[in-house]
Amino acid sequence: MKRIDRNSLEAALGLFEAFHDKEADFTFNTTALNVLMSAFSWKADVKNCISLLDRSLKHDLNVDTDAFSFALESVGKATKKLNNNRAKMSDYRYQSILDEFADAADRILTLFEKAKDKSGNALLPNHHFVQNYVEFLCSLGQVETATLVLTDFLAKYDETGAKIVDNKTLARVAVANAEAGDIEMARKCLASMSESLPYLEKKVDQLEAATLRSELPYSD
Amino acid sequence: MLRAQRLFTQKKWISSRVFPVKMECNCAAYSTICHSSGAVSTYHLNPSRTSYQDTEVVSSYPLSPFRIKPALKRQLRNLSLSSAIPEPHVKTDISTNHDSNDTEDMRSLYYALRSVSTFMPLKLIEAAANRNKAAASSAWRTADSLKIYSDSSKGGGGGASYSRSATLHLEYDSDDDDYENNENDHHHQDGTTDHDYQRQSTVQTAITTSHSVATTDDELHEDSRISIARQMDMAARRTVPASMRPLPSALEKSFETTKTNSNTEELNAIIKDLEEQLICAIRGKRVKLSMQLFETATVQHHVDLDLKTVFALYDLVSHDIYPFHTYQLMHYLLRRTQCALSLQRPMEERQTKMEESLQDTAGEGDSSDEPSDADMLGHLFERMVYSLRRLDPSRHLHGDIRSLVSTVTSELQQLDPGIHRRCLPVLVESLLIQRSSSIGKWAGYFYHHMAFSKYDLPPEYFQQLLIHSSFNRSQDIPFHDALQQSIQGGLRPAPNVVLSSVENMFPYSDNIRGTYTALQSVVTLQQQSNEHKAGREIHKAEMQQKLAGLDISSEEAQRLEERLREHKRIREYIFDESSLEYMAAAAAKKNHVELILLIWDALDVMGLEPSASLYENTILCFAKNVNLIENAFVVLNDMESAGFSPSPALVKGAALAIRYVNTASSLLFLTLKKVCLILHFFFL
Repeated sequence: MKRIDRNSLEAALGLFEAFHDKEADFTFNTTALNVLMSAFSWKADVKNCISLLDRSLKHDLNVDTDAFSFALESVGKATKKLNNNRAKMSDYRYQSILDEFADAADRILTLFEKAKDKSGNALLPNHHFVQNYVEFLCSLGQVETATLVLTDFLAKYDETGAKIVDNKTLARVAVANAEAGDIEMARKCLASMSESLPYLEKKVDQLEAATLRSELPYSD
Repeated sequence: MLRAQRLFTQKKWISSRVFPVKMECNCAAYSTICHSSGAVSTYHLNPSRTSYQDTEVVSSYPLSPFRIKPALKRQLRNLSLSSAIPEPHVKTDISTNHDSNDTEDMRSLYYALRSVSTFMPLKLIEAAANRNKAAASSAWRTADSLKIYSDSSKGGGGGASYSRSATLHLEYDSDDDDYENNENDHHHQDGTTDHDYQRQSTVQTAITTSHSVATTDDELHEDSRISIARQMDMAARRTVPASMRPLPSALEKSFETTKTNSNTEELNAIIKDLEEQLICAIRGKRVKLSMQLFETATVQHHVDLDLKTVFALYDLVSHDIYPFHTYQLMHYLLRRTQCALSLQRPMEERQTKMEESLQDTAGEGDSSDEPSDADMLGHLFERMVYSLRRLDPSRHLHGDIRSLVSTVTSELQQLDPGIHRRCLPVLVESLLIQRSSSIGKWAGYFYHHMAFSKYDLPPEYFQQLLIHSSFNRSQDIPFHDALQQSIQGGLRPAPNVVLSSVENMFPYSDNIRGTYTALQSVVTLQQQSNEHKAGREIHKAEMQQKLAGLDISSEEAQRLEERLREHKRIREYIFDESSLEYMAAAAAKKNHVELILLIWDALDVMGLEPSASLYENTILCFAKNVNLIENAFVVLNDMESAGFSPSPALVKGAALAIRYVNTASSLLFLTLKKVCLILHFFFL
């Protein structure tokens, strides 16, 4: 029996390459691309995500907003992983990798601005896209930028008529602001939510108390 | 293994008339079987015998399946205790003590018993008789007023002797539907009249119990006893059904003669009468009455009945709702026909004897009419296992069902392979039909044994098994194999049978290979149907051409039209789409690609359109296989072209299937990771 040395994801990527080399017998459609992007985002494989996006756009494959949101998700997950392993690496290396991720996110956003749908219109962000972007910014420590993005999209609606900013995004920004010391903004975010979540309010209160304690002159 | 089997291996021999075969059994096992059959056993009171195992079983009577109520049981216990206080020679007839508590107890007991069943007096006698003779006497009086008629035994024996005999005439409890139907008939097929049946129903059983009660002061309380008995009798007449009314005076007289036990001719006449009544009851298919008469004849009067009559009774009882009676009769017949001895011989000896008997019969040709031991055993066990299908947890205790089935099957396993070939198919079907689900699982063991031994079974048998398929017992036997066997035998079972047997296999993920086999069989059947349909269309077109081209008479045209109509009835084996979707979901879960492909074939054959769920499950199934990733994307493309929009769940699911590494190297990596973890914990 022939031993298979490659995994399914590599096989799928090989199919994608075969399609672009016009060796495959089938059309690699948007959903298939999304499946691949989702698989790579789960693995926090930023390079492959951006490569897929590049090649898809180059070969005029219809790329929807979900593909870009998956790419942003991969960047966010990679940043989280980096933060978790922060103690194991030097500051220089940490900062250089962080810069790479920031560049990657910048590239994804640039591609998103250039991308167009089937009818030639520019792609509109949906709640997945905003959520993943905000998540990435918060992981990166860019809380102010995340708050700005939030305020920009707060009153906007997507194609389906749903709000672009959902409660999950608001909660993430609220916690990030509370951790950064901006309790007022955190409370504003919580007030903007469609439903009150007591555990989040409690968490913000705890963070506020911790901030106040740290500001006291006789505190440890 | 089981309680009954444990008891059977104690190698205690029972010397019973009802359980007559010298088999490895004791009273406990017998009482289990009797009790579950709704019967209660009464025992001879023999002071020389002390242990329970030594007690001789005298009789057993069919009883109501209901148990004694706890309050009533308490009353019985109190009664037997209170009656047990006086000495045996002291008069303890409770019906004579107006002011005693026992009388009140008995009255309350009477009304309680009246609401339960007629078996209660027997239980009462048994309970009282286990204490002492005086208690038995008290119980006897109670039973007397409760439609268990005694001869009053006024004369009695001496105080010290245990020679007083009494005869109980038990009323016939007509709770069986068959009996009621027969009761309503005025004239019966065998020419017997209602009078005969009434007589049979009233003259149920005669129990002769040996006990003695001193009756020195009987006369003192005669009047009061009679008055109370009359009152209770009147109450009974008002409340008890007609079938439980007292016996006609002529019959009472006839049984009074048995009490004296002096005239053997009269006794013989009664025995003969019993035999006639038994034959009459068998002809009338009155199972309960037949069993009671049989027990009376064999147990009470030690009559060796005609074997043909007993065989007829055996065949009749094997259709009854109490297979325990069949078991009793089978062992009676085994003893009478000396077949039980062959059971005790080792297997080799039995085989040699069977070969010898076969050679003898071959030499004699057809001259020997008597069946051999093997034939006899085969017939008896075949009927026995046939009767197991009437087992029902609503009627019998589960433990008793288990005991009976385990006993029968263990006895069956001792027999020759030839008898196995005869009995096992019937046993499998019986186990499948009976209502206990835990016992039904045993059918699979015997089914696999038959398959392993390559029994030559007709396809109709497998078709019959398919009919008994049910959802909650779909694991009893491999129904997919039964379906396959029946189709391979050239049969085309009814569509409702086939489709329901396959649908009963839900959830299919438990038996994915079986689902594949079953679906393959259904696809084969539907392909045959399609071929027939195509042939019919061609034939129809040809016939219509003939009809149009020829100038034929109206009769011939009608005949041709009838022939065309005959072709209309073609069996269609078409699943509903949801069943196929469930199968596809199971295939995706278990990563069974062959089943998915077969489902798509089935869609083509059955003329169904694929749904979004089918597409999704196909994609997920293909995505889990490294070599079929391309096919997954092709199906995804087809799905979109068919007008279905892939859901986000599908995208996530497919991504999940793809990103999980399922190659040999990854498995090796995972194994190494586990080993490292174990070593890490070990060193810690």
